Amino acid sequence: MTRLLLGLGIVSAFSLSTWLQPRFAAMQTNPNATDSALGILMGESSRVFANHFLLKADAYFHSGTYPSVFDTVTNKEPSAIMGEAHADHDHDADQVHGKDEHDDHHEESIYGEPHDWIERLGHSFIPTLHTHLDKPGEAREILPWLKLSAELDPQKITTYVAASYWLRHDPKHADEAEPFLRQGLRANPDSYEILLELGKYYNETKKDPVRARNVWELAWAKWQKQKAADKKPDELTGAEILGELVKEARSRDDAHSQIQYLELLKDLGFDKAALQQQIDALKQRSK
Amino acid sequence: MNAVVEIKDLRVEYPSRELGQKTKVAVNGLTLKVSAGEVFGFLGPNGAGKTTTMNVLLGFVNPTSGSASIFGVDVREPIARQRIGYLPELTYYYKFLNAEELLRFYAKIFNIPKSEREKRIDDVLKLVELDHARTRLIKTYSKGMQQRAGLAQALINDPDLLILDEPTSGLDPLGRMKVREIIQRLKERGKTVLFSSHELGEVETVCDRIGILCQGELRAEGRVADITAQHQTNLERVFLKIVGYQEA
Amino acid sequence: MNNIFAIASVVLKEMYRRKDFYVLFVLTALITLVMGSVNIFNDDKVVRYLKEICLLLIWVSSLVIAITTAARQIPAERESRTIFPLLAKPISRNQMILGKFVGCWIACALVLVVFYLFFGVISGAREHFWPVVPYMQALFFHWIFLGIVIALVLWGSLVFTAVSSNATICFIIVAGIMLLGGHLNQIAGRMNGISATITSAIYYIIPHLEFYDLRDWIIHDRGVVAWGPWLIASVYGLVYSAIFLGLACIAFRRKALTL
Ligand SMILES: Nc1ncnc2c1ncn2[C@@H]1O[C@H](COP(=O)(O)OP(=O)(O)OP(=O)(O)O)[C@@H](O)[C@H]1O
Ligand SMILES: [Mg+2]
Repeated sequence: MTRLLLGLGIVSAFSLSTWLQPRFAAMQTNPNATDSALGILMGESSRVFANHFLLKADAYFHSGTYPSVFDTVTNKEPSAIMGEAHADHDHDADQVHGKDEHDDHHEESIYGEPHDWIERLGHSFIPTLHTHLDKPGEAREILPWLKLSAELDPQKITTYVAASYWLRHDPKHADEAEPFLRQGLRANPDSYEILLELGKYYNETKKDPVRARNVWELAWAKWQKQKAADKKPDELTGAEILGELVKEARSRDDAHSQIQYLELLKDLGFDKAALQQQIDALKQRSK
Repeated sequence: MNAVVEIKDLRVEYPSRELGQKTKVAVNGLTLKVSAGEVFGFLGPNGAGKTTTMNVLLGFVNPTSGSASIFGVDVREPIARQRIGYLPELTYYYKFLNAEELLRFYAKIFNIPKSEREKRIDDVLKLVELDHARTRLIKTYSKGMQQRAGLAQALINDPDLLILDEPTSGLDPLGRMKVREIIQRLKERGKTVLFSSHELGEVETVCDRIGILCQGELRAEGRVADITAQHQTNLERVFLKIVGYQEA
Repeated sequence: MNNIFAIASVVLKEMYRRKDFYVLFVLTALITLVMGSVNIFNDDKVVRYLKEICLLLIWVSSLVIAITTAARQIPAERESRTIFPLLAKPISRNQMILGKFVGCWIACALVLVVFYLFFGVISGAREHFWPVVPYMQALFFHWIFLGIVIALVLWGSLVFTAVSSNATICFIIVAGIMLLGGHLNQIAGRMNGISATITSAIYYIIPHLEFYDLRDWIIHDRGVVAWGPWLIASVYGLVYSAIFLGLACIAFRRKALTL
């Protein structure tokens, strides 16, 4: 018995080390490797944990409803917090990727009908109702996990954007969004996503559209730089940056800039006809 | 006289540790009776099967064949052990208890009423002369003191039958004499004692009857005087002859 | 009954004379307090992560205490030969197993009360409300869970010779059931043939330990657990403890007590 266990232990240790070795090697040559103390301490696994904590934050947002990989009935992808963040926010922004099918499904089990009595009984002891942390201030509960996630994997951009969204929507914490985003920017200097979020912070929270515009223009420049370098930046985010710039220009009644950004937006390939209409209308007016 | 211990045609085999080997026969065709009020001495060389026989009497080891009973009750019934006091060959006791707590624990299992319990504990501790160390953890005891604690727990229920596996091993001469005295006193009170020993002198002085066990078989049984008379020599010579020692 | 409690009291005595529990408790308290002092965006009302960490530590510590205590009981009796004078008394082997079980289980109850008091104080101090009933429900469930684990480990200690291998195997089994037990039916649904049948058979045979994990429930303040299912699950757990104890008794009855 003992000998069998020992053998098993040796085999698993061996396979684990062969699995880990190339990863360690990769990490040592990677100049962008994590730079936080905790991250270094935990090595490659820190990224796994960072992702786990991000999921945790998502589960917290839904008050503990936490579909596992085995639950097929999931109506949202892992980074649903981001979804939420954009969904609420984008309704008024007439943006391209508003998650409009996202809903008011509160108070509904996310796990679907149980298959057997064991599952039915089990569902009595875990939070299955889909609710949100929407009472004032309640969203703060997700922040520790986001902070931990950033600590473990500073390269994970979602973390900063999600945290900033919640921070700036909580009057007590609004001012903390900026330092956190700047921290993210230091770790990811080329991130147009963080710049987009920073712009929103200046625009909506600080009511400083001029500063917001500068940041968004920088974001767009970064986006284009990545495009040129063939790094396949996210087109939806690119469109969102341009959308913000269009709105900002509209608020200044700057038809010229609006047209310029709308043309860029059209180049991205979204709903060309409608955009052309808007451009034509603007050109008409400015004549 | 009615038999307190009755062993019939007992055979005990141990499964062998190594593969492909036959089982080890520890006791073979043992038949034995110990009557009430008797002191019976179990003799035999190392590995003869003395401890194994006692283990059967206490239900630790199941007989391969044959049977054993105590006070007419089959040894596999727990109630057979209500009137027994047992001292194992090697005694270790709960390291985190002191002598008093150990005895209280065993007294509870014997269902000794609370009113009597403390007095009984006092009595046996005095008897084995551990009174001074009663609140010390047993792990701090010397070997001889542990042996005395073992003897104390064997006496806690004022048993009618005592089974003692080498009760004097590890004791100083004074301690040995003390144990002999205890056995003698118990005998005077009509108790039955079954004990094993390697000390022939000791056996000669306290035993009514002896049995000499060798390789799992009972080679001789009877009163010491009868056995020596039969072989016309002293007990030591008889013993050596029975175990097959050839004098040069 | 008398015999069972006599044995149980010795287990308890050993428990409080050993230092394991104190060490684990101090460690749990220390880690929780340190985590509680971390600055989360200058907000001292953030509490759920702290509850989560504290409960995780409590679960791990209590599981370690339960498994190591239960796994040690019978092998230690045999190794130190204390089992011989003990079983030479009028006590059956079944009573000995039951006594060991009751002792370990009561010890765990005491441990859990201390742990949950600490948890209640920590969370209450931040939240300023004390959901006593849900916490009691969680504590009781946790205790039922440990009962099943103790019975399983006692059985294991009669099947496997080495204490460490028994403890390791039981730990893996318990962790495996906690993580996968509730999903085996879904896994079986994705397989076919004989392996699907085996997987769903396992699903119905194993004790579903994941029931008793009310952590998410109390972290997110979901109120009182419905009493009906709560009662059913408690009975379900007791039945499994009884089954494992029965198996332990059977395994012990056949054992020759020699070294
Ligand atoms: N658990 C066991 N497994 C296998 N064989 C055993 C076991 N216990 C004892 N034996 C064997 O059974 C035989 C009898 O052993 P037992 O302990 O009864 O001898 P003993 O007469 O008490 O000897 P001693 O005087 O040394 O105490 C020995 O040959 C021993 O090797
Ligand atoms: Mg012996």
